[in-house]
Amino acid sequence: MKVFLMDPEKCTGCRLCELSCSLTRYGAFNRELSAIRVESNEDLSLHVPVSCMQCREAPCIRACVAGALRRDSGTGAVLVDADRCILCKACAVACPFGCVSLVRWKDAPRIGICDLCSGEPQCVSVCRSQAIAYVDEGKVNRKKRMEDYERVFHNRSTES
Amino acid sequence: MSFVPSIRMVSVDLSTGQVSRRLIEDREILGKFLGGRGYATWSLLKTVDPHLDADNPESPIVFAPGVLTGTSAPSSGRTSVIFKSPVTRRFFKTNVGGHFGAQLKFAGIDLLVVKGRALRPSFLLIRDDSVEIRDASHLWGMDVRETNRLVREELDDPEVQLACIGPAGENRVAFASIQASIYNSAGRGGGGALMGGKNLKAIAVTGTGDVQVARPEQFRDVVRRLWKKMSQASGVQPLSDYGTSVGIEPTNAIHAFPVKNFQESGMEDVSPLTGTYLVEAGYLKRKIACFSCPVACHRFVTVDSGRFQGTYTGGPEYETLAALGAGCGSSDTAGVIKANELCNIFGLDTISTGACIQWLMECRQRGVTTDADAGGLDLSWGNSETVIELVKMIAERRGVGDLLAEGVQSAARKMGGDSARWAVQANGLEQSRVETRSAFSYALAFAVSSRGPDHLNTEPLAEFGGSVEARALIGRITGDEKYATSFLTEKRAEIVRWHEDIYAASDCLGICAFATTAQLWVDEQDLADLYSAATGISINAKDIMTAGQRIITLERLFNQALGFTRENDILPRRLMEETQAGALHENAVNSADSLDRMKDEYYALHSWDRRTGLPTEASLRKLGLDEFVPGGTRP
Repeated sequence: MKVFLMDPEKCTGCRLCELSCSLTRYGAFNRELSAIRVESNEDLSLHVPVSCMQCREAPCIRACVAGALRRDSGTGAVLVDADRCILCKACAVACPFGCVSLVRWKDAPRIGICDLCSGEPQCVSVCRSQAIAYVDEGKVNRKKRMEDYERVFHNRSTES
Repeated sequence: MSFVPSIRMVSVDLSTGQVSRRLIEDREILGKFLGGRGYATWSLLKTVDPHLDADNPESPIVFAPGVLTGTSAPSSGRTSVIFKSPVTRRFFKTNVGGHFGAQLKFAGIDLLVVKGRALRPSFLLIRDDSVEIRDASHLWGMDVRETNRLVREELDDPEVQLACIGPAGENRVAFASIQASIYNSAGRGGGGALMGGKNLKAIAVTGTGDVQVARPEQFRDVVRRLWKKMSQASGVQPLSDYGTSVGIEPTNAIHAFPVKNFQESGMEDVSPLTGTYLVEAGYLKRKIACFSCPVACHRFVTVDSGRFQGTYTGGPEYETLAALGAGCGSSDTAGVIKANELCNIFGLDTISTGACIQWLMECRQRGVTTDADAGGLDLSWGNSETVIELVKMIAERRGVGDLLAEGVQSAARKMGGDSARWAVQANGLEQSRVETRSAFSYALAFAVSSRGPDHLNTEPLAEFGGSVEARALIGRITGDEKYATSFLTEKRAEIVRWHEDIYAASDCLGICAFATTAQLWVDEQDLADLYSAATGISINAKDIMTAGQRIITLERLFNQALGFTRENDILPRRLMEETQAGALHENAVNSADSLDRMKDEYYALHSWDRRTGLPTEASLRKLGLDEFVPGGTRP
């Protein structure tokens, strides 16, 4: 199973992830429709990409009273069954990361959750700065460890 | 909501509070002028008398995001800002990145025209379909960062995008900038002063609508192709890694980096001003992108120790390091960053600010002024504390800052002596930090530019032949790669003609001119493909360049109405009279002779009148600009 790994230090705030998401899902460019969002502090030029973290014990699925949310067995993405969804927004309230939202498309409301583009997330493919990575679950920590190692090693070598 | 192929124009009159909307769907007009800068220029020429004084409240300022702005077309987030300059009193187009233009598009606006003068300090608030003029008394006097913070708090919306002015714009400093997304500047020409004169502190926008393209599949294919071209272009990664100042080292190496107000052409140790140094010395904290740009050449830097500890800002760019650093005889990295921060938050163009300070330092060097005249400041070359103090004094119009705040042309008139000789300006615009005595395409481009001597209408970087792509382009334009050398006057007219057309077309589409004229991974065919896929109006590469030429011609007509002719196509005196020190080639001067020869060829390529340098009836008709033929059917 693969999961997102975000690195805000690398995010340039270009919003191409948001644009490619809304284009893929709705055929239009609209940040409001994107399942991935970049939160910014313009003053400090800080940009933080946020998307569904694919929680194992997903609060959104547990919160759904209509049985409209299920996990895709292949990608692990949380999928929304629009026919069952009663738009109560309990899932949005339950999400600890604010990554479930009520969006409006062609004047009809619906629940938007990242569906991982069936295993090939488009946001990742347009992220040239590699702030968004889509990596094997088991490698998430290793990547972090390696980065910390390099940081420490780099500091040592510049001190000496 | 789909914006293409149409232009949604919103006009605001600050005097009456009236807001009007117009939808332009005439496909012939759209195809002819593309949109953005092109349509805005045409519309301005048709509706505004060029003689209308720039200080007259009725004189408009137009914000024109590109046709593609808001889409995922790479590097397409740019916005043109067009007005009659209150300094040069000529046509002026500036262009700015950041995220402001995209927000306008999401709010359903392709073109925003603001005229009139508000009774008291105001800001324009646009939220989707709602346009209101709000009181900005509490924002007046605030710097750009504070203004952004206060408006975001007031609206409880951290995503609202601002184009605003700082104290310099309020004080009508001649080269006050308009700051978009805090650290992106529509820097040149005094747009900030114009907004200040309108009592317009800011334009704040949030939009939640869609931007759609006419042929999504085709659009996706073109975008995919461009990504591939981008990844193969030799200049893209260095620009991304080191920012625009990646160019300082090579420029210094060929002795074309102006130092001490163009008296010298290089520094012994230029490294503290380079993009690599910003990274290696730890100033660079993040690479920043404009909307939809995968390259991210903008910088965010901080100063973590020393005299200027606590400084943080977007930048510094090549021109800033040249204007506030080398040009002032300084290579103090942290000092330049501090001066850059102040320019950004006070809302000052870094190029003109630096140019004025350098001129003052040279006045002192030549004994025309003294430190005492400057209130006791040490005006010797290289004093970065002085540079920083002068930036503040200019923004606040304090002491000698008040003199500099009128721009170097006016300051030299008041200073007298010989000081006009080293006021490096032409037509009232301070030249950008490009050594035109070592680069003759630039020399020609600067002389004939509608706005004056700088690189932001025409950027013929390729003439240096600095990359495979540059040499190939020069080969394509002139027929031989051997012309990819900047010391020739031959073929410069052809090179300038190509570059001014594609630059104008890039602005129309919102595509960054770096892509089309510097790293060269987007060409006129790509622009045509993007435009066709986005709008559904099929055009080809030739149409793109012809549209560019129409815009150049329209700008010429505007200035012609004001009496500007061939005689005004000039460069700063210093560059025409003094040979460049330390040049690597002979005749390193922009002599009137060589400039005249290049101008002859340039006008001929436009089919303009050689004697006057003005568009002929035939040239206008050929471009389908019959309505502008004198005595013709001008509405």
